Amino acid sequence: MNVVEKQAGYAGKILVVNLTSRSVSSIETQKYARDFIGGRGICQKLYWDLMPPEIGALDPESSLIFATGAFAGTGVPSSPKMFLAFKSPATYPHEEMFVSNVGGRVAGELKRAGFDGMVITGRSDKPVYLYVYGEGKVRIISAAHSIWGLDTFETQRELRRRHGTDAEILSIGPAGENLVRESIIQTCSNDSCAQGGPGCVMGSKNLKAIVVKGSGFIDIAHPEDLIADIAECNGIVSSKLSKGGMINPFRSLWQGFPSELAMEAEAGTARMKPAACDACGLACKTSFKYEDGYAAGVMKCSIGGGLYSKAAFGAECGDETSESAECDSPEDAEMPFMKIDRTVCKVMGEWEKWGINGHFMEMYSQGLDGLLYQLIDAGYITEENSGLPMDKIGEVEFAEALLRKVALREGEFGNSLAEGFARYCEKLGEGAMELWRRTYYPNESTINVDQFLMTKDFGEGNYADILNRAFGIRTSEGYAFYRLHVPNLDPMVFDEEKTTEAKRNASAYFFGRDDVLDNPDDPETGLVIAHYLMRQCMIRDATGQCGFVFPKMISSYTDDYVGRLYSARFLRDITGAEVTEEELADIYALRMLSLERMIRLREGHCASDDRVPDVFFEDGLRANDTTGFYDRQEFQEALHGYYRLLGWNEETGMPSAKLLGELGLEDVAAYFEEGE
Amino acid sequence: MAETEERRRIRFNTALCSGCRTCMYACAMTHGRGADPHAANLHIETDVLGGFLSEACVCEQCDDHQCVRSCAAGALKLDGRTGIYAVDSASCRGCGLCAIACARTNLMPRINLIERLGIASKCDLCGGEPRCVALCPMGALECEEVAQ
Repeated sequence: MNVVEKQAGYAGKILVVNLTSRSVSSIETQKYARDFIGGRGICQKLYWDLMPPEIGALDPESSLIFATGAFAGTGVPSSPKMFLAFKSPATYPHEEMFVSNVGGRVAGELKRAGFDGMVITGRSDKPVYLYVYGEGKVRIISAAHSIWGLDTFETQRELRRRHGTDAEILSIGPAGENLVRESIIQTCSNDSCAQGGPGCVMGSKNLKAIVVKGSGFIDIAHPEDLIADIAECNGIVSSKLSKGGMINPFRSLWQGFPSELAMEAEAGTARMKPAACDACGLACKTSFKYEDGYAAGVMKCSIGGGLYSKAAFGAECGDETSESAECDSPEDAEMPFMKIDRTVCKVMGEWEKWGINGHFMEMYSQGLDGLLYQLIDAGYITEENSGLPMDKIGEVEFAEALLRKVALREGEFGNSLAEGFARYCEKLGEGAMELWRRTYYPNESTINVDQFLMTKDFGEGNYADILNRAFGIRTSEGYAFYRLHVPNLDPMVFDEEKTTEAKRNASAYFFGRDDVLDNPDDPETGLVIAHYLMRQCMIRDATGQCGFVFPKMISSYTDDYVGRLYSARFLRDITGAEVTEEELADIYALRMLSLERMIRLREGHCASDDRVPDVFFEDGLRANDTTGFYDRQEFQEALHGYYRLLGWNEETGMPSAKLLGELGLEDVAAYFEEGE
Repeated sequence: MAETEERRRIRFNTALCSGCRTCMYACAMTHGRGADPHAANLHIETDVLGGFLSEACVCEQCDDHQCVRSCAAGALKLDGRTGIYAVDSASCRGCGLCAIACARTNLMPRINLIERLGIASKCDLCGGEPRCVALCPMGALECEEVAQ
């Protein structure tokens, strides 16, 4: 047997497929992994190299780039992620680079099939799907007759019938085929890469699905150390659970909270079961099935975000501070009663079926304050011009009609809304546009204020959060409230003294002084926290750790309630590379941030695009102060401070040529110097 | 071939399993097969499309020993420490007769064939301290005494 020497932890190659010429080639992973580790880091560098700014999101030359996290497929807890970079058809006003990710099992499977990533470019003249199998084998197979037109679930069933139940599948639904800008790519384990509209890019290439079925393995540099570290991580979680009798806030997110679904499960008319991504011990997902066949699917954290929101908690909530998870009916609920009922369960399956981003439709929370409902209230959308059954708002029928119209681009209304809210509002006129600007983040058509409202519910809406939301690409770079928050099923959260102590401990551990976490809503300390979290998010995304789990500065699992860093340890166990946490944060993360910034600047992004929705400056969105609002001037100064902290130009938010040189990004610096 | 008194086996609780495969990763790595859940001695099959129901394929350490009798290579050897039979991968030819024999007595075969390595594999309790049980974050795997 021919033994091929390869770097431990990696498959060694990145697959390049050109669908126009139907040619297949590969790139050495090491060329990219050395400086960028994996995942989002490799995505960024490939994007810089392959996607000059003049290429449009849906042009044939546009590249859809996948890269697996360095920890994916190695058994590291909660690290199953594969990242995607692509020019987003959904951002507004112009199409910009976007990064999205997906969990489940597909990343590890791709590595075992011989590839650390995939670059898909070109456009097939007829519908096809990609079959990546064995160790480095690839086929392009026609999807024209029996697969194109199927919904995501039908597609996965058909492809698993053909290629076996151990095949992992990424597929688009009818929305992606019809180039709906907010289309998702769905996996067969019910995870999706949703933000930014990657399904639309895949659809534009006439690529219906990617089937992955590997037969290789991933070499581990120090397997015994790796097993010991996995045992340590899982042990922290398990021992805490058995010791304190605490409910796992992740595992029981759905089963522990009272909801109509949980009540049905208790009564035996529905079934609930924990479900996890590859090697994750927290199992944030819950699989459910109604015994009468009404609906079945998987509850996920991304939906959890929505369900946490104010609108999701009914008026009958009751006392939100009880630690009891028992309740018999909504009326005597002591815990927040989650609005997970038959309607929500059914509607959730509908987005996934059509392949549309759930955040976009704002249906998950049934929140009637979303932009769609604002437009209905303002008279822009009527029963006559849309054909939507307005008397059925909040019911399954309404959601079904809406999703079908958008996914199939039915009629003038469906066709316009398929372009996304920003472009739809632009068409409606200045009044509608004002509503959009008020509630949506620029360049992030899917992220709206509704999600910030929930941070306020937690009492942690803060500067750290809004700075990272203004500055970053992905939602999970915000959520500072969550990173500083003890999941509320832990009894500790109700003990003010202990909470203060936890914050002091965490502050001392991460910042070397104990008062930084006292007030994250102060622009100065908020900035320090944001800066720290943003760099950890980069490391997380390069290694493939899950945003739901990491970085957590305060954790309910450790004895001192301080979250721990494992990135450097696991990286050494897997690849053998000796690197410290400080080096990861100060060099690798800064390199990723600076490169991503340069990509965005190259595509026309500027400092004034780093902003938050107007509503922050007008009414009381600040935590602990229902009448306060953020000050524009103060916010701008904090943002400039952020640039300064990163070593970027304070006014323009551009990394200096010197910094880029120090980070080994001379080629990136040269591009801008030539341009000037 | 006397068996020791305290013969044990792994017991699987499907209600607790989340299908995360930590056990399979731990097993494959412990046995020097790299990170590859398909190369583990136990196999947890989870129906990810249909409700995440899991089934485990792990040796029940039964008294029948059909697998041992079927092996012409004599690759299934008694481990004195655990009192159970384990595959000696150096002798195994990967013919798969043991898995067929196992399937005759068990509804689901408890022996996996690892194509990549050309060997059969069954649970050997890691020589006494099964790693899968230690690492399972859900508590879905346990060690229990085999009723004599």
